Amino acid sequence: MFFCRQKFSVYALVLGVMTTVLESRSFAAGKMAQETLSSFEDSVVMLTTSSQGWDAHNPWSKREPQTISSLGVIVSGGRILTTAFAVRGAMNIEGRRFGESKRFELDVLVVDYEINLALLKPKNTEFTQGMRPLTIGGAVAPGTGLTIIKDRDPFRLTQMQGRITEVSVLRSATSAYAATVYQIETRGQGLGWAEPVVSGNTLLALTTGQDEGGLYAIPSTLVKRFVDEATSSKYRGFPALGISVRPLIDPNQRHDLGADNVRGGVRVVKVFATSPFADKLQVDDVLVSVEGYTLSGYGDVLWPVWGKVSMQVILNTLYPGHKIRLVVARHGRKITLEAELTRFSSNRFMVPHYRFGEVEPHLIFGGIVLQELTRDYMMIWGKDWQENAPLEFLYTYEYENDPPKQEGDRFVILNRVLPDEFNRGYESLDNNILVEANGQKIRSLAALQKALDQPVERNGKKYAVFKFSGGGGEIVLGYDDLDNAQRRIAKNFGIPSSSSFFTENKTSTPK
Amino acid sequence: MISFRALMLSAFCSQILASSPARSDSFSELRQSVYKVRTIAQEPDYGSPWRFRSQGGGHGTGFYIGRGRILTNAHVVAHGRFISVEREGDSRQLTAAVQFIAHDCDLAILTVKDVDAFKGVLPLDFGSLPKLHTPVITVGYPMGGDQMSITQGVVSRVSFSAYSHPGDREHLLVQVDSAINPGNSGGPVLQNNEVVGVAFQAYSAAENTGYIIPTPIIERFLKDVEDGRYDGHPEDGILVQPDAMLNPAAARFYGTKDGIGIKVIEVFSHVAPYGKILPGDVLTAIEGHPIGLDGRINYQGERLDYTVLYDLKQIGEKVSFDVMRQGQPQKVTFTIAPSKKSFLRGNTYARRPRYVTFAGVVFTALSRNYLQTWGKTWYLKAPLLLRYVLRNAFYTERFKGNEDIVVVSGRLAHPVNTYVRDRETSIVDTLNGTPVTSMAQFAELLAQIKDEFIKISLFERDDVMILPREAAQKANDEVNKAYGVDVPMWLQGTEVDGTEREGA
Repeated sequence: MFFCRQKFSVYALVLGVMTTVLESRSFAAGKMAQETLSSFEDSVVMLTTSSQGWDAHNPWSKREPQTISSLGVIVSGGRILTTAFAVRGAMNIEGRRFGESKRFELDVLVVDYEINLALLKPKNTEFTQGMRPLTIGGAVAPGTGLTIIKDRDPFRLTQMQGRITEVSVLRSATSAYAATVYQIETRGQGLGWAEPVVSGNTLLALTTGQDEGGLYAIPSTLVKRFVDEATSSKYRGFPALGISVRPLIDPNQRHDLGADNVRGGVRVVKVFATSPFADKLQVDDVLVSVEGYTLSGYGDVLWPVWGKVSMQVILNTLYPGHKIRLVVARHGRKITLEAELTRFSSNRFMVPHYRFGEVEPHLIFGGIVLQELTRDYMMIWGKDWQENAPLEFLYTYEYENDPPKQEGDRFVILNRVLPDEFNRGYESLDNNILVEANGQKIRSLAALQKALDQPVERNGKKYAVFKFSGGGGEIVLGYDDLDNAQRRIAKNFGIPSSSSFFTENKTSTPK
Repeated sequence: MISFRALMLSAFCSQILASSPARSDSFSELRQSVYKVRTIAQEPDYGSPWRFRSQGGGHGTGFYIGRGRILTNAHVVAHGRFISVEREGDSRQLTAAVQFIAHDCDLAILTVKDVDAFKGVLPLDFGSLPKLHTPVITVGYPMGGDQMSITQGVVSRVSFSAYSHPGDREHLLVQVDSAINPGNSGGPVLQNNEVVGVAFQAYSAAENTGYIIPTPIIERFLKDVEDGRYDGHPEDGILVQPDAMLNPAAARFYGTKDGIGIKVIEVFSHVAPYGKILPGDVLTAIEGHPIGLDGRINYQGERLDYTVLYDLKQIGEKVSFDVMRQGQPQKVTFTIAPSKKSFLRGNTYARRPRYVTFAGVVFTALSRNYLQTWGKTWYLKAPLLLRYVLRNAFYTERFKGNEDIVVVSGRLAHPVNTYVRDRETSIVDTLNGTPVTSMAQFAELLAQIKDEFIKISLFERDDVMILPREAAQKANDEVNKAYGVDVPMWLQGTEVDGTEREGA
């Protein structure tokens, strides 16, 4: 038995030595990777954002709180860069360094939902003490291999390889703004949470989302512009031309526009009322060049490093206030037009794109819940809302959603009726667009308040008459006993007193 | 979504019983008047409208109603290319033809060439609207066997509800709990040896829920065709808002009495009441029957939608409404004129859809059938613009007065049309500046155009299709020949039914 024990011990020793050797080797390799990743631990932090948006369907209350984890990248000035999506509607943001457990509270310095970027600053500078900002690099060409730094677990980072397959212009996850993105091919999954995309210690991009098309990331050129401007006294945001164009590749169309002798260019099909070129550009102009860059028939320009990319890339480099120069062909004659760019806002459209963290304005009249049609509202129909939301809303969003001349104009909708004796007969009505109240056209909640302050009088009684579009019917209610009814409804449905029940001659805009 | 199955039958022949043409009270004799109806059908292809789909077969039931006519369901014989009938006791399969077909209420009359075939066959008589909880017998040739089947049940509901075959029409409807299965369609439902209905659909999500077309609808149909032409059920086109007058404030506002009246929201411009009944009117009675706040009247012991009375009228008859108009009572009487052609929001069973091919571009009339080419969930998957326009054409200023809404439905690739690709599912707005209002007008404009270019603007797309006229016209025949388009256009619509023989 003693011998066996000895033998076992020898085997164990050998096994132990072998294991130690193997571990040493992998440790050595791991050590190298770990050294690399360790260095990123000084440049990347873990963020946890708690938010609680307002419930579009019950606009007097908030939704259940949400928590999102994302990464943050240290940039100059002890600031932390992440995506706007990660911190949307934030009520509390916590940061933690990898390998450490202490948490620090962070504030939002600047958030731009249009470009989907946010800059944060810790309340306590101890958080970023000794951390190393990543250098923000320049543009890289399609085909470039790169590394994506991701959190492996709450304490460690890991890395994945990827390759830029395409540079394109897409709407961001948070807005209707068209911005340049890298499309990255990678085996990594679960990405798109502000992971830094690097080459060495240089930041090339910040990830924003992933789907079957690949991983999407904001290029460093846009990141640099955002970070640099965030340090300035006034953040100006990003501009747009405020026009819609269509490719001009049909020689018959070109001939019809008198542009046979014009090379390239796209057809202007719409000039929004808010466009800086509203009184300069015309439908059927052929947009030939933007800031000296010649447009192809598809609207592409040749851009340094990236090659052929949508002309929107030019706008991504300019600032509101800049005087932009366009050359158009109008009936075959070339004209140069100039105008000062203005800041783009996705909420300038008739149907606001986002309401992150903001109160959902509404007005309740005797249980009739009226509010603005928003993208958030349509999203209550779930992930397939673009199929399942009411047809009229979808059509309005798709085809009647130009930015209005009058800022603040909106589609006001009937959400639903909170049933009460006061509104009997109307309890089944919901999801209709309000076109008229008390004989006045309604294009905003403020206009609705004003209209309701002017009741329809008939036989000595006052009435509120609401008319809805497309066969949606009509609601007629009296003003008698309105206050009692609203008190009853508020109590019955648990609606807080802070909610916007109609009060006559209220001068402030309904919440 | 509720789905109603249209039901079809299978039959088994047995010995013919000799009988006199006089009415018989014997069920064993009555069953000899019930036919198995076999149909080989061929539907048009709404995706490629110059083509037809492959033939398909099915069975239904019918019954003899006298004067050489067999009554059955329209859906049993819809798009029928070859129809035959047979009955118990007679081994012959007789070739039948559709004499009249009513797709709006799912009824059809068949005749056979051999007039002697009905010798000794007793016509079934019609009874009245059956009462609730009274027994009925359903006779037919449902699945599960070849022999005639007889099931028994009771009348469980009388309502005014949707008929599956037309898709967008409601009529008087009777629900029974006797088994009605695929194969029973078109068969008689009897009470005291009289026909009280025609079996035609069932509610697939429930058990023991079959539906029959009751005799008032059948009798209306038979009366309609007496002049040799089927005019159809009148379309009231009055959009109402049920329960609105339940609200005391609304009732005061409109000056109606408690418990009476339904508010009119809209009256479509293509229907008879247009201009006579106005938006904002409160309908308080129809033909003297008071209309409740829910829009219902008392009809033969049941509370049914007021439209039941309007629906049973013939084209050319008068109808009267009591209305409250701006607080004043009025009587409105008018003659029910035929509806002007309206958009094809219901299912259509025309021989072919309306379409035009030009230079390889295929234009078709927007219809529910066209949207159904997007599959079972077409109401979600078909293009948003098309779904919206079809549903809301009556409210859309641009299309209110249209006969058709013309859609670019396809492209047969050819160099002349290579630059107009990716326009499928667009709606045609103007042709060289002229607003397009119908397929016929569109075809005429194309034929008459003399400009160098044909310019077709597309609705809500900020886009235009441009074709060089001469080259396009030249390419017409070449493209049609290459793609086997033997009929380059079809401008007739529902007036040529799918059961009519083309070229006959």
